[in-house]
Amino acid sequence: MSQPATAEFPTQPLPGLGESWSRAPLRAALLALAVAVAFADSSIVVLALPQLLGDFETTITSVSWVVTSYNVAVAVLALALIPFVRRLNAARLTRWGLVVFCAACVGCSVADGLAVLVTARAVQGAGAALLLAGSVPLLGALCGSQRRGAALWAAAGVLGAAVGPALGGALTQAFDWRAIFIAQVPLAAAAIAATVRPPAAVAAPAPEAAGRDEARIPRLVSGIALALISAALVGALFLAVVLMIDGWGHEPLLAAAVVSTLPAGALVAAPVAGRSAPLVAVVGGILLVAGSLLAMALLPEPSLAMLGTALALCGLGLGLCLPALTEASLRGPSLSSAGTWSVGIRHAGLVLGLVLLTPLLAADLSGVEDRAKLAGAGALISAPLSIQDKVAVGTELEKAIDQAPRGEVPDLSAAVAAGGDPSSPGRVELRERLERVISDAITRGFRGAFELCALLAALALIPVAALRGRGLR
Amino acid sequence: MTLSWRRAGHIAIAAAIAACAILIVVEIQRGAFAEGALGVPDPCHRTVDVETGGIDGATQRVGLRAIDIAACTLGTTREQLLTSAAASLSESRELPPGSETAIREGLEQAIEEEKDAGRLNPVAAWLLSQAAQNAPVEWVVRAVEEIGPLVG
Repeated sequence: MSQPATAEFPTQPLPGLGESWSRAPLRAALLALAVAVAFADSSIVVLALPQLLGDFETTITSVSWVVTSYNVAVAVLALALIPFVRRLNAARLTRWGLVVFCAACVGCSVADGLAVLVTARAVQGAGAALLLAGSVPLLGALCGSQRRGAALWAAAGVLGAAVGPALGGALTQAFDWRAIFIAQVPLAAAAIAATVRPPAAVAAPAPEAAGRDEARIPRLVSGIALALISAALVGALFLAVVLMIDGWGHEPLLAAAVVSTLPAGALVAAPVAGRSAPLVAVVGGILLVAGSLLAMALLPEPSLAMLGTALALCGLGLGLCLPALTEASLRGPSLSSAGTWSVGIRHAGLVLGLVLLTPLLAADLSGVEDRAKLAGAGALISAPLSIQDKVAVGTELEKAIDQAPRGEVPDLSAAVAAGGDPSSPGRVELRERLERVISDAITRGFRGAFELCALLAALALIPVAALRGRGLR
Repeated sequence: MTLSWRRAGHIAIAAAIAACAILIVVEIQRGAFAEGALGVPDPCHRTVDVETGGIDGATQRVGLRAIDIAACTLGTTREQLLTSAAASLSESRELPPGSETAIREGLEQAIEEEKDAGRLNPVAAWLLSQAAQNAPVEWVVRAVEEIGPLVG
């Protein structure tokens, strides 16, 4: 983990620091795990969205609120908490956050309708906001040092955010989307146990800071950079997954395996980030995130190898830039306020990404739909079939396209088989060509959204330039 | 020691950025900016390659060649012209301006080329040309399906 270049963490003793607290390492590990889970929840249901779409028989826009409601709740509550959080009892705040989070997980797992699930997800987000806000100083106390606590919190955040989609996809494929929420209950419950009976000093409010807050600008600027990178991450965490499952038709488990290259890259980057100058790690990491998103935009064909490589490079970039930026965003006289700011701004960035990308992707996919229809018509006209067969196949293709649910790829197999032997060379060739047309159209339909993500990541270099010499060297 | 560790870290970061740049170059070389399967050929430089034989093959050859010639004249594509013509027929709308003349001229030229290639007898070619010049536009658009029995 990279070390902050300037000692701008709170100088006054953290409540509870230096006091014995039984099984502190175990408690710290359980709490860090809960922090990782809360960060993972931003994207953990992405791979389950197709299953949710089918179970609740709803639209893509409606089902996307299962993701958005959580992130909006975290962002809004965390940003609203900033003025008060330093006066609150960190252990109690974390415990209440975990209780709400845990109860909401149970609610999500038994939800019998989309409205219930979206509401439970918003409540889960509210619990996550309390948990994440309270856990920064608490981890500092458990680790015996605010810096170590902040570093552990930042590492848990990076790992959780990166591992979310793969974990959710594996649980969905192995069991059901409800398993995603059931699996979180024991983890949150164990973390509750880690927060009980803290020393009296931990329960005390943090003392008011004296003097000028010199870390204010670095904290603000690093927060803006974090928000931009979080917005860009929508590309890697959401778009790449949707492209693989809904666009290319792969199983969630395979998509999860490909997406797992992202956390693997982040893990590989951790020791490299620790050995590098923070400014170099952050700039290099941002360039890698932007470059890998550009590589996702420029995919010439549906290729899991290329997408997996780009995701691994994105993970490397995240592992390089997020720890140092998160640590910079945590500096200041109050670790509670800074941590809450960091949580709020990151999730606000995710919401910004979702808000910007959803309409862009819809418009781009609609645009390539027309080109795909023309290319499909061309494939049919040029197919080695008789006129009679072409008319029969064309009529069925039109029906298949009209009858496909909005946002879903039509099933062309039955249409191509109309009026003849589906295994005849002409029909096999036509089916393969039509499938290529659709997959190429979808791959290119995602291009604009990936490019916007790359741009958002590259824009993070601007606030980072302002951090040079002030928070990063 | 610290400096060498740091240098190693910086070299690793530079290597990762280089790998990312290589990936982008490979993607561009493999056709990132090409149309891929969405590409539609230029009708002015397109050869009609019909794999079915007999009357069906001849009908498709004449029809597709006619549409290519018309599309080239109109500055559009075979696929765009066919879909707009099909939409006009199904919705009883008029064809886009210039389309009717271009399709008639395309049919005449395609019939002439078939005759010159010895795949269409002169009588049938004359009859088809007359039809292409004078028949109602709906008939002309449907000609692809109708001219089969006349090809000899």
